[in-house]
Amino acid sequence: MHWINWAIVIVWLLYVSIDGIRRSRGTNKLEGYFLGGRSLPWWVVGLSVMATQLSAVTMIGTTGQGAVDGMRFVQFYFGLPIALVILGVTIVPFLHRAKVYTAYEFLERRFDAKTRSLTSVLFLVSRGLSCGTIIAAPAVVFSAIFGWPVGWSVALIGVPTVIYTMIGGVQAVAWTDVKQMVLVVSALVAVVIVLLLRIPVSPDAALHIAGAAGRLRVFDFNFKLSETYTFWSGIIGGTFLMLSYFGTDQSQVQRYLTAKTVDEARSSHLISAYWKIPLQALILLVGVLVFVFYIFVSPPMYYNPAQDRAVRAADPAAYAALDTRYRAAFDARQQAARVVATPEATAENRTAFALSEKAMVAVRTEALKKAEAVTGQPSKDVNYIIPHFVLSELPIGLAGLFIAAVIAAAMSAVSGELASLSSTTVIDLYRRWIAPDADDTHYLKISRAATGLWGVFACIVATFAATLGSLIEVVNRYGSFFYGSILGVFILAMVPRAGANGAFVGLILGMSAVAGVNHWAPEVAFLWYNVIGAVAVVTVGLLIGGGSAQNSDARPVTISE
Amino acid sequence: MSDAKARGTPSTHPPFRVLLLRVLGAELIVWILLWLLQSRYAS
Repeated sequence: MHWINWAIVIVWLLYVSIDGIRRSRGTNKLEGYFLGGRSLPWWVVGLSVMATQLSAVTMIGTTGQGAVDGMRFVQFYFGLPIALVILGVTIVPFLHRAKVYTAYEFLERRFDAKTRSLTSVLFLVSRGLSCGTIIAAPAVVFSAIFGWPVGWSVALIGVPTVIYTMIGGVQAVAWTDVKQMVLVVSALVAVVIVLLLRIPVSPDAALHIAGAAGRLRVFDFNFKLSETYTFWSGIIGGTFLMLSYFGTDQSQVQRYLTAKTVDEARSSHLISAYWKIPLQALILLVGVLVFVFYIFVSPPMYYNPAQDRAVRAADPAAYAALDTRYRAAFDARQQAARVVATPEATAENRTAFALSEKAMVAVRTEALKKAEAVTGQPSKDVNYIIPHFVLSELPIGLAGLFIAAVIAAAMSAVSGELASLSSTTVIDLYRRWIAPDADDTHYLKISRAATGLWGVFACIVATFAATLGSLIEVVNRYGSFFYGSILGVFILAMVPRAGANGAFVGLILGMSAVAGVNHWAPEVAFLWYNVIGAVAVVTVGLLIGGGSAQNSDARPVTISE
Repeated sequence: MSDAKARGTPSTHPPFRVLLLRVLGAELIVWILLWLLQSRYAS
């Protein structure tokens, strides 16, 4: 990469780190460190919430998915606005007024200590692991592209993030997130503009080509439990997932607890409710346009340079033969695409183009299998498409800006996760079980240490996450094993007849139900796990009942308005 | 002091029904735009 691009990346890393550390003012108390003194403006909270969800996985994985699979992934988010409105009148006002530090703290007030501890441990396990995969996504790609050891890339992203989160707490997380979000959106818009200028046909013709290749098929109304991304899995499974994620996941709850008032907390969520789907559509569109770009500019057979080197070295003759077939398929596809781009294109022309695209995919699949046989590693290279495009096609400066944006996206997601892991560790475990009567100075020291330790843990996980397959699904899959069940417990908390034992047993059986489905019906798509887990917990919890107070603080929660 | 002041600052947040309609309206507009994109280019 050109030195100017590196300079941009380094300047950005320094700027964000210094800005984050500067925010450590006012974090000499636990409430300042974990909740920013409950004084952050709604728009900062809202942008920070969006930035935490938008990780490097989104920047390179989702755009790559747009290039190979098109726009249909956007259906995953269809339940999000519905979930946020429901939460705005249920959990958000309740938790904000309860003046808790964590979502799980509330479960002890309503149920008992064991339910609180189990949910917090589940959160720590799943978030700790997912935090690692968030760092791993860009780290693995950077290592392959720049030829570094994975540890260097992990350190590049992990070290500054851990430092500013440790020192500045949630204030540093939220304010740096705002800047990271601005950079990410600017970089995406800039890439779209460059793509539209570089593709040698009109935007309308480019979209016709993408459409003929099936990349603009957004809606899938088939009700198939085995299909991950359909309208119904998005609306039903997605709503449950988002209810759980935004309503009960400390990485999100902590953020809206930093808002000044309940209204500001709810308004912060509306930013996501209105803008998340358009933003995801933009991200997928970047991938779709990159796909169209590589119809006119010869793409590499392997987007991952490490695979390319390995196959070339192991079997040069097979590599050359595959490459010749790949180039021939590329020429045929380009010719067919040029016909589709004309106003006179017919349905037959579009079919011919779709067939040429299939032929090219077939050669590439064969090449990837070859790479898998040579390297012994999974050969999926979706996450390498956009980085390859950025580094080989974007002008100097803009490439650096995009790489900085990928790192920024990773940092903003990781910092939010670290702050939430630290708050749950300290508030729900350390303060609850080990040192209940210490002063703020002591808790603050422990909190900073916990942030640092979780950062180290995430970096270690990141080094091993590379072998886990498609990173987008890995992140979501970890969550889906627990999310639905934890949501079920919070739903039970709003039902007066539900009691502590019902919630605890329900939680165990809910997770068992999800594990059972995963084992005996692996064809069921993971988005449905959220529905299965939540329904199982609520059913068991209501059957066991026992809603009378089981500890002195237990009381039912009602929907506030 | 008025009752509203005595109770604290009244909520400026729209009622649930209004909020739901607004957000669902916005989502509907996004769906229509995506549907138009699909029907123009992907059919």
